[in-house]
Amino acid sequence: MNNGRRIAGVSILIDTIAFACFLVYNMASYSASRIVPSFALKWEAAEALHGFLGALSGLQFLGLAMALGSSKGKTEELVQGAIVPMVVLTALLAAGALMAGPQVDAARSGIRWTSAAFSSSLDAARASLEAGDLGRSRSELAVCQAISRRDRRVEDLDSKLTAAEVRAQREALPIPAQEVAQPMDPVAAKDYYLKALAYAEKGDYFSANWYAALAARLDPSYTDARRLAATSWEELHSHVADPADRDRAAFYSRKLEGYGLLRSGDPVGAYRVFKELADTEHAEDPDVRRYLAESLTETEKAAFFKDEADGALASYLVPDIFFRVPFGPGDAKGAAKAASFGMIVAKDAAWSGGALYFREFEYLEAAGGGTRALVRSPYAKLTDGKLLLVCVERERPSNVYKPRWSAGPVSGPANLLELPLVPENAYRALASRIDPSTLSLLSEWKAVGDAKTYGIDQSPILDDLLARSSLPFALFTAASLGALAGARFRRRGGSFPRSLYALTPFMAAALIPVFLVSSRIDELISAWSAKIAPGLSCLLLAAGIRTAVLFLAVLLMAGARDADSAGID
Amino acid sequence: MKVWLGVIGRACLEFSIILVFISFTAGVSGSLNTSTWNFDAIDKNAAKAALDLVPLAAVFTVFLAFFSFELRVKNRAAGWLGLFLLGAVLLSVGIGIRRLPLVRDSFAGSSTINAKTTGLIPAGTTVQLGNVVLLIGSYAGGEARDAVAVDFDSDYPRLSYAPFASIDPSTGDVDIQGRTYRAALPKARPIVLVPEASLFSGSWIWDRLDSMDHAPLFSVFSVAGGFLLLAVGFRFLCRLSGWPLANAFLAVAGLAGLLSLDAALSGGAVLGTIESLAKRMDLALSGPMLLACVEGAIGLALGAAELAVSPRKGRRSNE
Repeated sequence: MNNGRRIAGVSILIDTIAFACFLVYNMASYSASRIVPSFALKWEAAEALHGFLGALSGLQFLGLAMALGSSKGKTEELVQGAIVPMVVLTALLAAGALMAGPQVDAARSGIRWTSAAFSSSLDAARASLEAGDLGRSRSELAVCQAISRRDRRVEDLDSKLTAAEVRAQREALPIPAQEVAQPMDPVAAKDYYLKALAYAEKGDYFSANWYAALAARLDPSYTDARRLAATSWEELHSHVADPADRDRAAFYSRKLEGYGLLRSGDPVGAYRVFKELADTEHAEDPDVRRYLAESLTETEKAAFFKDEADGALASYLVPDIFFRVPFGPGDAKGAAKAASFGMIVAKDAAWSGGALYFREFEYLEAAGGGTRALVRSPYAKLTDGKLLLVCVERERPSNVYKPRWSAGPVSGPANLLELPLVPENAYRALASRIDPSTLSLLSEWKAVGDAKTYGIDQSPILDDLLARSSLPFALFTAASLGALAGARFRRRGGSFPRSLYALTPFMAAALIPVFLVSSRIDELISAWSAKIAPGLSCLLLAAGIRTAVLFLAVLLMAGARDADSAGID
Repeated sequence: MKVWLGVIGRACLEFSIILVFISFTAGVSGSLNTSTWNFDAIDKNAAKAALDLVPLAAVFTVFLAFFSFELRVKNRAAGWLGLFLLGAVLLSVGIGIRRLPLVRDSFAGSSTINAKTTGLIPAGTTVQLGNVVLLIGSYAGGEARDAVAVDFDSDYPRLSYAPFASIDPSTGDVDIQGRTYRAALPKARPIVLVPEASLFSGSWIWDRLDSMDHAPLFSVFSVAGGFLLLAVGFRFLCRLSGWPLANAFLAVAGLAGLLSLDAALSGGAVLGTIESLAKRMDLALSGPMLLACVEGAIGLALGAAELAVSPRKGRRSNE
């Protein structure tokens, strides 16, 4: 076997065995209470890959040492013959590790956070069910279902919760509808009255009654409107003697109510009405379909649905959200806000569909030693330049999560904030603070600038960049020293007994202390570089130091001679 | 004799390189926690570490020399003697230098090399310290402006804000809405090549020798001698299998094993057992001396077994 094939063969064999060992270990140590069972295989594979990539430099050392340590020939010839295959193999491994690393880490973090969210929501759902808070329990269970619908624990809890909801529905008393106070508006009242009159003349007493009643609510002194409401109601009843017509009247009235809400700028209320109608037996009614879609579109402009937020927050979560809003002269209100500072705080956030979703959101805007605005909302959604603060449950539109303002708003509506934030950049800066290794190299590079913009500590990102940039150096240095060790300590004379390969596990285990010490030296180079060189320049300094170390290793390797002939041992 | 001396000379050179390397590493590590970095801090920490870590460098050198003696010196008894002599010289020089009045005075109170704090958190940047996130807009005298704190361990809402907050620059304590937070940068986690011997109740050999600076010279040499005999006893590792590469790897594991074994033996429980056994045998020796005797005996037994069991001829896998 020639040198190149031997090196590639032994290294790949060792890498494969090591990966298999990591996989078996992770399968054996898997715990369903920590990781949701539906992610088990993915988790084990990701963990195995993570361990494998972490130990790659040690494995490369072992592979090269074993390949050359079991070869025949003169030391200098062996080492010279090993250079090209070693460089090619190491470069391939380094490139592969740099590309696969962020994906592996992203998968690990995603599964870990998702499983934590699942466990937390499952516990909360169980506790809420026991406490009799069925709404909360259903809401928490929805998070679990979004993560793993087929999980046995979720199915069990769902059936228990459904039973409890049915029981609660049976026991519930009908709640009388509350009269909504309307502001006085005589002009609008007259318009509605005229509309009602027109409908009455056409014989459409449903519409006439609805518009007349609305006019009377807007202007209680409007006696004509009240009279018309009364007469149209009498007409309605005189013509609709059977219960079916009364149902039709009620349906029509609800439809008009929804329409009125939509036109009066309350799309959430309109959506609630049309959703109720669609959920009963009026889903096929063309008006209901049309206005349901229209109110949905309008709702999405002013608010967002909780299932969107739950879906996003059930995937990859970034916890402990805290960043500055980069007010500057560039944005529309920059001049006014330049002297102020704003910050966003949330329990966690998640990225989905081009938007950033927050849970337990808080926003502070301060200027001149005082608070200009302080708002808190259970959920918030950031799209381009807009932070929506109202959240609606799609299937239960009566459940609306609204913001609470302690100060402000400074300007604009109370249901949203207009801020100079780009969701993608904000998310990149946030994610890089918590888990920088999940970002691609390019994204991480950009994140350094984003972090500065959003007032986020750059150190974790720089630390990770330093660690990543060390990988190729570590691999090349390990490969060089491995080749050197293998050539120096190879077996001389006679053939190489294959039984000696049985020592491989012991040799790998023996390498662990050296590997740990080397890792610490590498860590020290990173820490020292970060300490003395500010910002991205620390990468250059660390690269310089590592290049010097690699150069020494290559020099040692190049200077290797046969111990018997040159006396070097 | 020429070859024998050559191997020892070469080992001394290796010792110097190893000692410089580990001292410099320790110096760099120690300088990480200073508020502003400078070469002076590295120098002082490195010099202190150079004195402290002589036993580690010496034992590392002895292990490297196993292979040199194995390859070059035909007479194994001479090789064994050379290894012991090499270790004894290196350890004696280290112990001797530590006891020089000039050196002792230079490093008196050396624990003050590191600064107490590494400074306040930078203005305008959010910094997470545990579960608390802090932001200080700016500093002005004893005041922090636009100070924001968020304790993610507390219930929602979590945001606390003070437009003006008093701050103690020496400790970094800042009051925000009636609660005190610490706005000082935490000390960097120390990066040391060899971790603390936390797995054992005992301590590493170099820590034990460091703590004996005021002990009688005979005791110190006894402890060092016992450890050295044990180390030389591990020489069998360099010829354990027919594959030199495997032997080299096993010697590395042996070095880690030797240090761990020594630390474990010096722990309270094991040392207590040795002391109680010694009392039964009417041996009036102190704990460290007893440990040195035990280690020396183990080392001599291993060395004798190695000399007796594996004849030199035909077993040199390096040839």
